[in-house]
Amino acid sequence: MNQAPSMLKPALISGVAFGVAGSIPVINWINCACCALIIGCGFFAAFLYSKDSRTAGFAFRPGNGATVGLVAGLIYGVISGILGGLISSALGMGDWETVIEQIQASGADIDPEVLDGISHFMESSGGLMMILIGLFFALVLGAIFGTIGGLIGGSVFKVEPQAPVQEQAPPPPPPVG
Amino acid sequence: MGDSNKIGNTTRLVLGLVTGLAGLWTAGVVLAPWLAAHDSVLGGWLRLLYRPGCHQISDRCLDLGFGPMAVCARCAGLYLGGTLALLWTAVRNFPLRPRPVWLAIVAAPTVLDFVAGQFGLPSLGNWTRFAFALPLGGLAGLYLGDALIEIVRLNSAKEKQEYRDEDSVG
Repeated sequence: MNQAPSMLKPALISGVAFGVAGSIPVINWINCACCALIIGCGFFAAFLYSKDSRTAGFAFRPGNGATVGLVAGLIYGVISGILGGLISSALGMGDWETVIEQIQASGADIDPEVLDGISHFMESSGGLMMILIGLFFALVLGAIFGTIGGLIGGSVFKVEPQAPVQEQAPPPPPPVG
Repeated sequence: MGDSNKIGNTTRLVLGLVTGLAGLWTAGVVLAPWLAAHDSVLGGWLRLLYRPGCHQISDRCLDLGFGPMAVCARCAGLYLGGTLALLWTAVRNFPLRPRPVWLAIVAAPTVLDFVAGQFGLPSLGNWTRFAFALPLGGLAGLYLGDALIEIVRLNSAKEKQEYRDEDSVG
């Protein structure tokens, strides 16, 4: 009896590949189109897992796609959250002032004193807090959009279960005489 | 007959819920500028909610008369297409799963436009970008609907099987 293929391998391959891509400043703009990079991560993990399932003779269904997409999305979140945060810090991008500018540009009404207090706290944490916040959002978005990508991949690359091969009884011996 | 009706009702309920959520999400895209135009604080917060998934550059957002939408024209097309496809699947209560090649065909214009934009080449207009994204979102919605229906049916079948197994043991 064949063993069901491991879900971890496709999730790791896809999560790491897309996570690295998602932490590179220009490439991660792809996420501006409905988190396309994260959806692609779940979708690609589903594709890889469906291939493994087909080779092993196992069914691959949308539920499997959702699960592998979720795991890949979480791996994406960890990789892009940490690596992206480090790259942004090294390049001097994504600092708290930029975030405040974005919040103000969106028109959200926040008390300036509250913003000042938060800014002071963020500056005193020396960038670590920004990385942790980035990691949190990357994990949440990775889980949601990775699962959606995995669900879509689960439907696109569906593998139906193989019908069990029935053993045929040997033909009766020819009549003697 | 009763069992299949029950499964049919469950799939319809799940699809209805997911479609409702997708509808709310899509409606928020229009609601955010409308609220902002009516001096509501909620408009800004709602716009912020869509920030992680879209660049929200005003020039690239559709404007229905009360300010730029909360997401760009491409994202609006994807959301609306996905919601309509989910709605269609929920109403029919039957999955439609187009051949995967359609995904490549439908995604091509949006991908090409995105790549052109990244290389600084002239990009399409907002309504054209919206129109190109609409079928891509629709196809994704059809696949999502198919996946949800299958998951519900499989789980319902498993429940029935377990119930029968328990019954036969008891």
